[in-house]
Amino acid sequence: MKRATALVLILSLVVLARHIGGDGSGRFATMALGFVLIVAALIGEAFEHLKLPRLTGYLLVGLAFGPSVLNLITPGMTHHLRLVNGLAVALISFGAGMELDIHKLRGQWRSLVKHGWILLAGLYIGLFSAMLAATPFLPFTAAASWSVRVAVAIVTASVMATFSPTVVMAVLSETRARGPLSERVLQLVILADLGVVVVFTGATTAARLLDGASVNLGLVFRHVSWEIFGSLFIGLAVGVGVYFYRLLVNERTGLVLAGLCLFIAEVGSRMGLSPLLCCLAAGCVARNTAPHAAHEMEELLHRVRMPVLVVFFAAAGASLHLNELATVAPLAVGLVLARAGLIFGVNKVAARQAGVRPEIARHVPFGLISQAGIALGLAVIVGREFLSWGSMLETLFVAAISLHELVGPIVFRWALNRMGEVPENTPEPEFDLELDAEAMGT
Amino acid sequence: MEHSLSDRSALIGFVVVGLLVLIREQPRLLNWGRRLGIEQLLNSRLQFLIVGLLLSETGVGALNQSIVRELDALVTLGLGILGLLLGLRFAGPASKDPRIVRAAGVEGITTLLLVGGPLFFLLDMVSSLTWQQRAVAAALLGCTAAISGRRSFTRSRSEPGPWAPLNHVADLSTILGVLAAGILLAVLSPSAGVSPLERVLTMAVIGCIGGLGAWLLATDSKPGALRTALLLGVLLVTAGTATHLALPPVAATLIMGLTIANLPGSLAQELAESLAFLESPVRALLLVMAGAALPLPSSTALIGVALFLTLRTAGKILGGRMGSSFAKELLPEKMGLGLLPSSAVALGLALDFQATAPGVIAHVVVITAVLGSLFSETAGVWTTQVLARAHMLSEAALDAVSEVTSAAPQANEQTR
Repeated sequence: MKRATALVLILSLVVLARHIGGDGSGRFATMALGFVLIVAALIGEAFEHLKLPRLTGYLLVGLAFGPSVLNLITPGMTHHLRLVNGLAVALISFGAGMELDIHKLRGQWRSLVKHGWILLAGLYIGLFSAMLAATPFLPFTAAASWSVRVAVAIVTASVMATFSPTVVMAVLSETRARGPLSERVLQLVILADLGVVVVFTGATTAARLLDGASVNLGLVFRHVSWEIFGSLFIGLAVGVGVYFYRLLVNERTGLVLAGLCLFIAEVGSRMGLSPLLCCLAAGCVARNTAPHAAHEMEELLHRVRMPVLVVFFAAAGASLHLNELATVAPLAVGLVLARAGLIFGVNKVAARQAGVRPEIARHVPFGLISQAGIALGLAVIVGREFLSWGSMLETLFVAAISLHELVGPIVFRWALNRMGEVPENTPEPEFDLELDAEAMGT
Repeated sequence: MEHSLSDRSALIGFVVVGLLVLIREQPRLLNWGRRLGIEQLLNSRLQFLIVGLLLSETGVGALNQSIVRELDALVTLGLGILGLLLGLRFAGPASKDPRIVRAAGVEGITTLLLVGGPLFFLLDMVSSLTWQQRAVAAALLGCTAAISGRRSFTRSRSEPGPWAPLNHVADLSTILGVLAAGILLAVLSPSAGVSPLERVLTMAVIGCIGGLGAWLLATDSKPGALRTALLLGVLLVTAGTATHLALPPVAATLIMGLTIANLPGSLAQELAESLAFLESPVRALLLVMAGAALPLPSSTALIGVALFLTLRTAGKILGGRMGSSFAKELLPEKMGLGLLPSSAVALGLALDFQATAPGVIAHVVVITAVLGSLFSETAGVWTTQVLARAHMLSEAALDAVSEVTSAAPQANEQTR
């Protein structure tokens, strides 16, 4: 009752402002952002009580308030949120990096690599074959040449064979899930993310050649190498810096970590690096050089992270294209089902070869369904690079990715619950004033 | 998404600022500051103003108008946080002690009149403003002058010691100054078809609704990340609504904080603590933005600054002497010395002035407010130390003070 009353009061402010001042200015975006933050945080908590992922609640709120439905968050407003988006990805990645225990990984490395490469190779080949077989029946490739169809199939496989480290990390973070399923899914999506740059660049290069365009292979190689190895190197350096900061200063660590994440997000993008890989590496180093402090750092990051994540996923929801989903719904659903079927099928083989326990292997695919920012970014690149068929393929990708983004967190959370890896009554982290005083300097 | 070089430079600049904030208060750095004799400069945060000047359009150009517009939400949030934290301090019986309220009221009004009055006439001699413009500028400067910053008068930041009543006076003076400036800015704001009274009432209604909404949400949730997220959301809505309607966000969120502080329960302190960690970065951000917005001061403006500081000092000392007579057992006679330091809220008001007041007035007020605040921060630390050393309270006064400060937690217990 109190919450409903509060929402009515706050909504009245927004309506008053819109009525008197209109909604064209950037200042209205600030109000809209605040209102979405409140509603999304409350809906997320309600979803938590229903044992559903909070971030699904955030996504649905963003969808409801976005251009497709209520249009409270207009496309222009998303421009104001890019700072938050970069910070969110960086914070999530840093947190994921802190989950990677090198000592544990040493014992699992062979199994993980085997599992990963068989899964990715099988998925890629399966998607390529399925798309190639479907091209004669697709409206935008039915009359195309053989080389164009192969190009379309290559690009589709490279985009659809990606996973979402952001969503996986966010679900694990909000549920505080711990266990072999959580570890294996996180390791797989990170491993896949390391390869996505190489695979996608290779695929688009091949597609451009098949499409008749010219390519500077040397430049492509340099770009890819810099993005992967440069990101990891910078991330390692930052992680070492965090270690020495804790050793020598150890004040306001939470704010320092958040500031570093923002720094990496902005500087990294400018320098052609991958902020996700940078922060991943930084978090991994920070964790493994000070394992006793990992829990404390995670708690500090959690407090800074929550408002940022709410806004990030709400904005992601606002950018989901319901209209496009409607126009290509049958194709998108077909693509989603094909991808899901391949993931389950190929994973069975890969897990067996890697010696993964059957009960874990059965649930791993649920964590691989999600797709989000990375895949969307690749789809946009496809739309931009291939003028004759790229935009139509982009529409199909966006529709399929939207479905994955909505459904993926739910099924992953369900799998985690089934495996018993989600603690009962996941506690809302309360403020420990002593910890806060140390971490924030108050 | 492609980003311009300026976009990145500005954001990198802000991150550098953030790191400066954190490094600035490291004990080792402060030790070096003491050795080099620049401790007061470090305390005044002058370095952030310099960063703002360097990043401004007259510097490297990283903080140009388009970048400043993109950071609008961040600045609005920052102003909102300052106003809210100020309002939340008006909680508990200690800050509502009639003696303290009278003392603060007398001190604040004396300072406001002593600064605003003479400046109205002096501005005529040094500028070509119309009398209406001079009146507005003088009034705004008077309000800025009334603002005083809190200080820890002992070495331990967690223990306010016997100087808690002085902090309460500083808070109340600041509230008075911000409310007066807020009403003035609301009256001046360009809203077609809306009377000045309606604008002031709208600002008050926005603050009250925001406060009530925040209170309802906070009482229905436990302290934690969720409550902080909800509070930030309400803050964005309140401050954003005020800004959208060309009303001062600092004043609107101050009213929001006052509303929460006067509703049942002891939420004010909890909410203040959940946001307190943002205060230092917000101050730094506002200093950078103020530096970026600072027009190059002319000789006339510098004369104005000097006049402002002189009059403010006189106002604080005289007003402090007059105000302390209403609470002799609680406040030292020379409490004005302890009220000289300014507050980050003054910078927030300066940014509000720029957005709302006519260009010429804004030019005068922004320069005066920003440079005046910085100087007060620097010199004010020294005067506070003088007061602390000079005034060893008698045993009886200490007992009276501890009676007031110990009443606060007991009253809070009763209202839970």
